[in-house]
Amino acid sequence: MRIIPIYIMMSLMTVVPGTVQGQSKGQEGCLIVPHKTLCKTESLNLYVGPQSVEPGEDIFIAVETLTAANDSSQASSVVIIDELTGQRYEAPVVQGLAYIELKAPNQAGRLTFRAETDNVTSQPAEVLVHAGQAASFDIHIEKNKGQAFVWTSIITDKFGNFVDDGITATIELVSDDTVYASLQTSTQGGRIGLHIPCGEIKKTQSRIRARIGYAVQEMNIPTYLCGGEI
Amino acid sequence: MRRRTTFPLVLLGATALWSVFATLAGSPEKSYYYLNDLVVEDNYAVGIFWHDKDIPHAEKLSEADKTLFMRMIADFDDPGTSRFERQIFLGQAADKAAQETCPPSAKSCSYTAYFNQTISPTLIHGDLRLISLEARTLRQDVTLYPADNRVEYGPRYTEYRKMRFMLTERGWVLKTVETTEIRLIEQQPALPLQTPKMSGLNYYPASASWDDFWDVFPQKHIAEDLDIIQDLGANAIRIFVQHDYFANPETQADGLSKLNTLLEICDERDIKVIVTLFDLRADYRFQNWGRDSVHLMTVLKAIRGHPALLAVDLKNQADLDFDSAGKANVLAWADAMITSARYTYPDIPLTIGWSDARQAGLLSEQLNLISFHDYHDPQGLAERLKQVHHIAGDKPVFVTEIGHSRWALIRDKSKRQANRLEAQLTQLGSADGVFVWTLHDFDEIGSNIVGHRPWRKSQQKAYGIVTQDGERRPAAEKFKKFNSEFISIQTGD
Repeated sequence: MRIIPIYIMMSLMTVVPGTVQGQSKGQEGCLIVPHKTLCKTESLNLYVGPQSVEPGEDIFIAVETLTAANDSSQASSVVIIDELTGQRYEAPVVQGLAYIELKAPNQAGRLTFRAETDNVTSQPAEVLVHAGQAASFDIHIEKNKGQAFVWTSIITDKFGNFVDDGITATIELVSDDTVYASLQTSTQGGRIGLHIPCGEIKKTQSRIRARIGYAVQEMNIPTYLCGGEI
Repeated sequence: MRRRTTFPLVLLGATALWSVFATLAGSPEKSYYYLNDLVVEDNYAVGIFWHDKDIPHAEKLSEADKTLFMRMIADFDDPGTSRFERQIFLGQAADKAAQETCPPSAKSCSYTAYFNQTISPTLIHGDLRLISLEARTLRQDVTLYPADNRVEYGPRYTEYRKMRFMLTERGWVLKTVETTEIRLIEQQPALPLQTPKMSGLNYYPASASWDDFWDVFPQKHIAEDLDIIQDLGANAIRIFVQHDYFANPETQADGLSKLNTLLEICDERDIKVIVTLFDLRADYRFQNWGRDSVHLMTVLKAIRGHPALLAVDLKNQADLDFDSAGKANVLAWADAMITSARYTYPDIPLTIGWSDARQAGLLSEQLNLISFHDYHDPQGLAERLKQVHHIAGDKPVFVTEIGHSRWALIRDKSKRQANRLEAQLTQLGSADGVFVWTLHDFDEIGSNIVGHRPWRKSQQKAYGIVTQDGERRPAAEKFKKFNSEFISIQTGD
């Protein structure tokens, strides 16, 4: 019996190319390569996300380059344009897809992207860049309509963007390091403002503390604030 | 041993059911639009492998996502599926899926069977809006002729595809499926297995045969049986891996663990093992090739390289299903499984245990050893073996089932069993392997094994050459005597 080691079996199972057409121009606007006809780009689909980000977060942008038959087109690269800044990003197309990842700018606002190639432009896609976590603000307290009125300066993130409306803020009344009252409100126009009845404020040394996200400010409540009631 | 399973739905012979509102006997009120509507959903894995790649955002894909993608691809690739109603395809993928319909009036319909398919992600949109995958798959072109229920199998390829999924309001949809490369596979003849002479037994424990074997797996009895087999001078066993136990996700891990345990027990005794796959499964439809390929790869991966593994018998007596499933379909399935196994595990020797020497030439080019069974009159066995040697060329020839039942209406025929086995063995000196059916008698034989006829079950119960207490019957002595000479021929002792 002729004995041939088993380990060479693999090399005997060959894989050979099938019918291969040469690279040539076929139907108008199409390029014929082995096993495939690549036609000109008729449409671009732009996928941008997330729809809202904070400054410095990732923005993911993919572009499909499609033929009239919705197959991948012959496009080899696309340009992705940030219409706000005019910045242009060229991205290679691999298997009908181009993909880039960008960092959201520090300035809050609405970004609009488009993609272009071969005189074809995609529909626009928008991303909202909103302010990040509150980073700095000042706290103030004054007498108003017989009550204590607590308000802040414009609250901004670390890049100076006004925080969004509706961000929850917590106002705490503190005495001897003990929180004896806690109230909640939310930002509007980049600020908070809250009336506290004088009856709720202890007559002993009291402080008021505002928490917005991780940012905290506090101050002593002046004894004169609520007049003779203290 | 022979199996006579009548598969209830010979689906490839039922392509006329493609026609709208065809009905089945027994459920006349039910209508079927597509062939695959007839297939009962099961919980077996999708016939696709997922291969993770170290690309950005890969960690964002959950296992559920991956399973979903594979199921959608399987749906897309599955000819005849009612995929349009499932709303999981969009755009180009939906157009392509629509082209795969086979109208009832069509003279012929062309399909593609995909198997041994591996999927890997190539691009994951950071916001999970878009996923791009690449697939490497084996592909077989198939043409159905609905009018006469005929199936033709075309060339076989390796195909590379890209697939794109998009997240929409209704969840993930398959948007694009495009072929990027396709290569014709030309499979070269398999090389002969290098093996010393093997003599052994087809093996089930007496206490756990067929369906019960892997579930019960009486390890103590198995070890004792292997000691008996060793004492009989044998150096091999042939075992059966029940498809359902090893393909079911709930029992698969247990089955594979026990299979390796069995190989270990055999290796401790220097006993080699032929592992027979797809036992008790008579479904050869090309729609199942993907899943069958996954089953095959799963078992092969678990046993590859084990020192006790002699060879893999892809299918026991596949030729017995020629009438029910169609010879072309059975052979196409077997050829596809050989291709699949070769593609991934080229070093595992393969055979198919044909039920009759006359079938031994089938697919012989692709197999590493040729094996057949012989329950005919012992006279002429040497000549039948000679014919198979002629067909096999320089490949080893194993007779993987011989034997004789002691059952008779009046009394046990132990002596007749021994004489007949001796008559068989004396003609098998030129074989490279001989396997006797079987070590033990069995208390229970299911109808799925040999059919419903009671005398067939009685016959099947009484093939054992050793009693359940381990006492040798006369046939065992004949076998031991044969082994003392047969095995020494090769080893030169």
